[in-house]
Amino acid sequence: MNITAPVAIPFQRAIERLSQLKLGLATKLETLSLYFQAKAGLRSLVEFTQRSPFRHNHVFLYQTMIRRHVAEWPCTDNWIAVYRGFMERYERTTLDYFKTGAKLYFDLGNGEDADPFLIFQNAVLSEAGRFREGKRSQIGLDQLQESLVTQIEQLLIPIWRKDLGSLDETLNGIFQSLPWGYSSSSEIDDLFAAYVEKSDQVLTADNVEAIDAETEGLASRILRGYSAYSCERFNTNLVRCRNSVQSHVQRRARARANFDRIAARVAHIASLLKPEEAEMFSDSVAQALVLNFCNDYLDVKFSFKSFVGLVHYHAFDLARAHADPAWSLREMGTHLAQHTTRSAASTDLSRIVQP
Amino acid sequence: MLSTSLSGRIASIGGGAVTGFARIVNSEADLGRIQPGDIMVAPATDISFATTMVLCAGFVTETGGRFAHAAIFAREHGLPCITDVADARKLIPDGAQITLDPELNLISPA
Repeated sequence: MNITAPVAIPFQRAIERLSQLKLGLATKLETLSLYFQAKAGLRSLVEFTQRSPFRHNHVFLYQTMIRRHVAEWPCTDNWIAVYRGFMERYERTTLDYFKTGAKLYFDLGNGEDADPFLIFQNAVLSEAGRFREGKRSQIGLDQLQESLVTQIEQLLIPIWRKDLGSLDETLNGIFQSLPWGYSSSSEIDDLFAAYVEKSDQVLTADNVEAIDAETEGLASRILRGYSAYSCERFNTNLVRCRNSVQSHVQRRARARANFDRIAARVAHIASLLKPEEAEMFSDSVAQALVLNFCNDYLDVKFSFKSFVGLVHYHAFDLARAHADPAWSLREMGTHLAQHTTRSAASTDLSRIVQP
Repeated sequence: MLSTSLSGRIASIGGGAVTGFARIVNSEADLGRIQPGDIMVAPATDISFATTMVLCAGFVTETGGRFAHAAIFAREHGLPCITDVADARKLIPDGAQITLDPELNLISPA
């Protein structure tokens, strides 16, 4: 990364915090997902997705379901949306969502012993937690980002001049910027480029474990992080990437140049502010990049868009099989509690995934 | 042919206005229809679209704002994007040649 001090100080502070986050929460989640994969078995996970009727569009279905029940998710209304403390609750919720998804996977696998009410309740409360920190929540990720936009605007408007260009474009730059390797699209780009070099093979349920061993875990890393264990999706992306390996190099160079340009611009703007305002600006920019990372990396790999999201959706779908899908969440839950029986298997604590 | 001009929220200026063939993408299953230089028209995008999105000249989505996946992707890759264009998939015919001008916030017939 071609940034020289002291010109790029706002982004340097941001990069330090991003590194901590990548080493911290991102690593915890990756460790948890590796543990779950080892416990469930790579082939079993691939076959689960292969059999899933929702494998092509579970993200869209999940989003539709969230919106349909948007007023119903059990939540704390009208709490305070501030950055302080957000990362602790985001971490706790993201880890809980993943662990619940892993438990649901094993519970759903119980067949006739599966307890529809407990599965549904666990999925609803898990999504309620994720929803609370997420895009549509009054105290969630998007709301905090919007607040930061306002804070940064208020710092910059008094000093803004025509020669600084568009303020909106500058804000877009701050709220898009992540160094190469910290965004999901750059990581998927790098991973597939590396896979194309190591192996030219498409994946199937029959060969996935062997190819994963040959590629030293690269195949499963992509399946786990970016394909919800779908070989179809993996193979489709592989074909596209095979034909664009040269472009990957160009895209990386362009993105790095773009990031450096924004970093330099932000540093120049900081130099126009009074010291205490420059300090607030640097802090706000660092917070913006951390939230970008949550939005564009952690959410992509570990939220409802991931394999555990697919599993959560299966849990919601199970409820619909036993109740009227037109009902509210509360009505479905009440019906399941009253008309289905408790299963002994659902109290098996060994099914809670803990590394 | 697109019969009227549309607008939404400017999510990314990219390199400015682009002209290309509109490609309606309802789900991941439609991604195989995208050709280099097409303008993707979708309800929204997500990471599963990423390896195809790099082929596109720009994006129009029906939902989302500054922090939507399409907006972030477009800015990262220097491509134009307009989000929150209601009924884009109904109003923009598949295969129509269109101009996406993010500086004017306009999607118009080419």
